[in-house]
Amino acid sequence: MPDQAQLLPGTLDLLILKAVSLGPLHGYGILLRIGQISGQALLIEQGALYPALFRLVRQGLLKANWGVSENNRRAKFYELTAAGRKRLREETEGWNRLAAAIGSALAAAPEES
Amino acid sequence: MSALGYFRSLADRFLRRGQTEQEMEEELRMHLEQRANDLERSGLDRREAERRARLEFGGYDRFKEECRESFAGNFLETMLQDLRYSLRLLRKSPGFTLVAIGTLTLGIGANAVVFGVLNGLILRPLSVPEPQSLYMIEREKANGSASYPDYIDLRDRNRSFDGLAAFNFDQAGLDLGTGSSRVWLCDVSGNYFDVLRIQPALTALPTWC
Repeated sequence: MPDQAQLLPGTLDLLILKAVSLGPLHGYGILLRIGQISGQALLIEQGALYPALFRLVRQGLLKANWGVSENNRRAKFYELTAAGRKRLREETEGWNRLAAAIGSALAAAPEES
Repeated sequence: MSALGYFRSLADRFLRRGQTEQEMEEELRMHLEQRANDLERSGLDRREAERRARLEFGGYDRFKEECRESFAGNFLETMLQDLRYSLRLLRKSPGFTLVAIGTLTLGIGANAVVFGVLNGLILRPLSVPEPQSLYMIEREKANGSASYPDYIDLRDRNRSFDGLAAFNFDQAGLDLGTGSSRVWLCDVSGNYFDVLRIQPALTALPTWC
């Protein structure tokens, strides 16, 4: 495995929302999708995905339906609700603001400060 | 949090508990299996692939427990546990329990009595229109009472109030055909009901009032 970054607290929810926003997925599919869109650069404890999914369903950001997986097995598929879509948009903006602020703070050269 | 998602989650937890548990198990098992399949495809033998899949997943039972905790209504369960626990403790030390219950009983009882009296005497307004503009006129040096001629003088010269009525507590014998008994009554001046702006409950007033 290449060097992988630990997830910051709270970012797993955001990654799940993003992964699911690209189309309904079951749990393992979400993990693969996150790996794919992050270039395998994030270290995720796989089991931690499920408490997060259950929590997002409770919060009404995701909805879960049983369907049939690509290898013809019964599987639980998650998709975004309207509230989830809205939350993803807000969290993405918040994340971008935070990343930009931290980035510019860390890039400050001594004479500029 | 959406109310619908919350209630569905609550129902999952309490009404469909067995099914929910089974589905959770199925979902997590499937994850392990799929991961093992992928690892096997990348060249590992089956047993090594399954071992690696479990390793990457992390603490299986811990995550399952965390899944249960993410359901709505977890606080209900915790509260019930706390309640059962405290009842058990209270049963263990009956002396303390008795003193605690006694203290609470006395405290609450005393409060209720004091509030009851206060409410009747002070807080609840009289049930007449504009009770706040009702005043009582007393003579300072005659036990509070005034003579009838004094009342007439006050009434006729009154320019401060809309009206002035007089009353006097009295006792009398009352016979309703079953033998006489002593009753309290209140003599009032003829304008009493007009001044208070109320109507007697049972009958219209005779015209001479």
